[in-house]
Amino acid sequence: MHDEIVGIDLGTTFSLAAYVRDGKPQPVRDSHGTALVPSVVSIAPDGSMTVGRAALDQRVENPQCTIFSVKRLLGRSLADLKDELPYLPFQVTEAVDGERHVLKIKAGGREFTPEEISARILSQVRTMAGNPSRAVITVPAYFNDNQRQATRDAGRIAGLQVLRIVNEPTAAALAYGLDRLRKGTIAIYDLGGGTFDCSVLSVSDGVFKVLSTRGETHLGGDDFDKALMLLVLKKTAREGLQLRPRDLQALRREVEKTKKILSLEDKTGIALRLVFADGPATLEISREELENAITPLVEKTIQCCREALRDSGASEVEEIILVGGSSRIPLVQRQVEKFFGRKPLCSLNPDEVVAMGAAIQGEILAGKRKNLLLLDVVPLSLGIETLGGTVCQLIHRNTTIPAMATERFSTGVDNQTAIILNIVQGERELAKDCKTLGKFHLSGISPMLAQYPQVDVTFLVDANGILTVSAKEARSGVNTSVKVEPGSGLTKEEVETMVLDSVTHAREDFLERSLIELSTRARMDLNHGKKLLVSLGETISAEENQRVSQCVEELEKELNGKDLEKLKAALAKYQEAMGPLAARAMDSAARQYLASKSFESLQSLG
Amino acid sequence: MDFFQLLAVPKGFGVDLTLLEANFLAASRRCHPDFVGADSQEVLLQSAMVNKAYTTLKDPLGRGEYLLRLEGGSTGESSRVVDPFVLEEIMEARGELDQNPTGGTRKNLLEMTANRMKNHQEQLLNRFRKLEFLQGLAKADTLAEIRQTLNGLRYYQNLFRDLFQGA
Repeated sequence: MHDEIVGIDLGTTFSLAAYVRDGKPQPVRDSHGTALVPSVVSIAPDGSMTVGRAALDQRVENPQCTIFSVKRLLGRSLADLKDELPYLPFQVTEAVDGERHVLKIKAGGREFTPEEISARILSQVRTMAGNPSRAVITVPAYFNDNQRQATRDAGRIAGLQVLRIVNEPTAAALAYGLDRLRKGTIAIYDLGGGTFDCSVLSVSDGVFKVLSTRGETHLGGDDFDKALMLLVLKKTAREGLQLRPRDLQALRREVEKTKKILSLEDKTGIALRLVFADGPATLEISREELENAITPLVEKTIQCCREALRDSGASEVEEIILVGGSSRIPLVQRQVEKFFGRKPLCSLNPDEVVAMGAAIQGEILAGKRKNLLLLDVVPLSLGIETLGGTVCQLIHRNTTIPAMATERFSTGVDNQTAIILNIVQGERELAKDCKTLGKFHLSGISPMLAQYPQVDVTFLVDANGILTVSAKEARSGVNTSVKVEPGSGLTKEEVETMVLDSVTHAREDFLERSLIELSTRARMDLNHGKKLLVSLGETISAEENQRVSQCVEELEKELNGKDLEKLKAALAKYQEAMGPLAARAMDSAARQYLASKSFESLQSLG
Repeated sequence: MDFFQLLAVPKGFGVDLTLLEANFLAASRRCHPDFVGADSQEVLLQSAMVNKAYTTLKDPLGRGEYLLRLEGGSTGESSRVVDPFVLEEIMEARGELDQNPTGGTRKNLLEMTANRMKNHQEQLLNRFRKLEFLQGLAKADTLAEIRQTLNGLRYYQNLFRDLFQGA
């Protein structure tokens, strides 16, 4: 087990790890020099799982059981995802437990939460990085509380102690070593597979302070693929037709390739023969067509940049950094340069820069880099629903974290001993338009006249951007009993059982697989043995016959059971009994064979 | 320890923003959880307090409200008195913007609002300074004046924000 702190970028399409080596952040690479692990998990009908590159091939072969872009599901509810679901070939449902909604993905006859699937990806990355126990994991700056908690839970399920959740753009700024600017303002444009955000930071003597951040948790390369898919369907007169999951995935794979080529070439042919049985074999798509299809999406990102810059109070930036694979698209680079009025920095690989920054944050936490400090912010305001459904904001967006705020509440009727508060996150004025994080139950208030108790509710946001709520009755000084009922995600207990689950399941999976393999072997041996007995006919003695029959009987009995050890023993006994008979049969077979062949023909066999 | 002491800036409305920023960064280096290497409740509260002190003192309205509270003045919720001239001007400005929401109107209004905010801040600076020398009724009068000035400043700041965001 490693004692270094690993930096992990848990991405929508790819994930990777990095360490700082000789003072420089370096991605962890496999023997082929690849750092990126596809964030894809495939579940076989027998329940076994493959993760990463091997699972990627299953996307077309086994679409219903191959889970990709799970980051878009992490920390979300079914209602959040209604626009997404038609494009997902796998089945997504929701379990409701009281107020809490838990998203489930059905595959291979089992149900998985997005946290568990993400944990499988993290686990793969962890193995590649030499099994470290402590990690810094990055999330999009615009992730809300639920999404941050879910990410941390996924890390926990993967057996990692998550020391810090860091925002991706902030990590990127660290990786570029922009602390060399003694004083200045920088912007980070992060367009990944599934999410977009733009952050504006100030740098001052090694302290990175986030001034503002804006983004969309559902805008990224996946949406460009979708736009391109729609374009292909339109150009081949297939608009509005229901596609089979396999075709949908094959089309997705081909447009993804096309999109990447069009960042380098002016036009290319998309191989439709790999997707549809009928129609043209290839379809030409030009960069211009792609750009027309994605212009509205890119315009949306620029609008976010405009808002982030305005919120920051800065009028211009000294540097602009591009992060995320989709920032390679020429149209994106042009628009960003046009908006910020300067050439963006993109010398580091945009796919790897975030993990590198996370590794540096790991060093900061280990106390190895005292010159650097990150001051991040709450991306979305946190508040409480008040009477009439409006929101009372306690912590405003872009407040530096750790952040704290206290608000006084009272009772509405005489002798009321409990208060229920609805905790929301978002910028809208009505609670119903914001994201409900959970219900906060305050109880144990002494019976008093209405309006008399003074309950101080304190919001505390930690350096991960995760909220905890506590309360105290001001008159008595007694801590009020507090129960937070999360609106989604997993409970602490569920996370713990999942950690154990993955360990016991790993053992179960292994045993089951061994049992299947051994049973298959035993059946083959039994079949072979039966033929052998027939071929040997009367040369078998009564004693031999009895011993073999007994072994066959025992082995057949164990084949119906589930005990691996007993099956092993029975098979060994059977093989021992059959050994001499097999040798004898082989001898006679060889003699017959030799007798039938001429010397020459044997020689030619070599 | 009050916010001024926490960030080692002289208590008063006229805060040196450069010094405030520098002291805030220095305090963050000392007590941010990343630096301390622990996420205990104590560390979090300490660090959150430093952040809150900085945010409060940086913003003129926040700073004024905080200072008034330290001096024993009333809160914005309990005393909503505003100069009638301020109210009239705010209503006129919002009406003008509704009728003619062009860039030109916006620019003129932004300029007017920025000027008013500056005036209010100067008034606050003087009145807070004057407080030191006052006692009894005279002090109470000045505290009430400050309350009214802060209420006015809040109106102008809100208008400024709306004008700015719509731009």
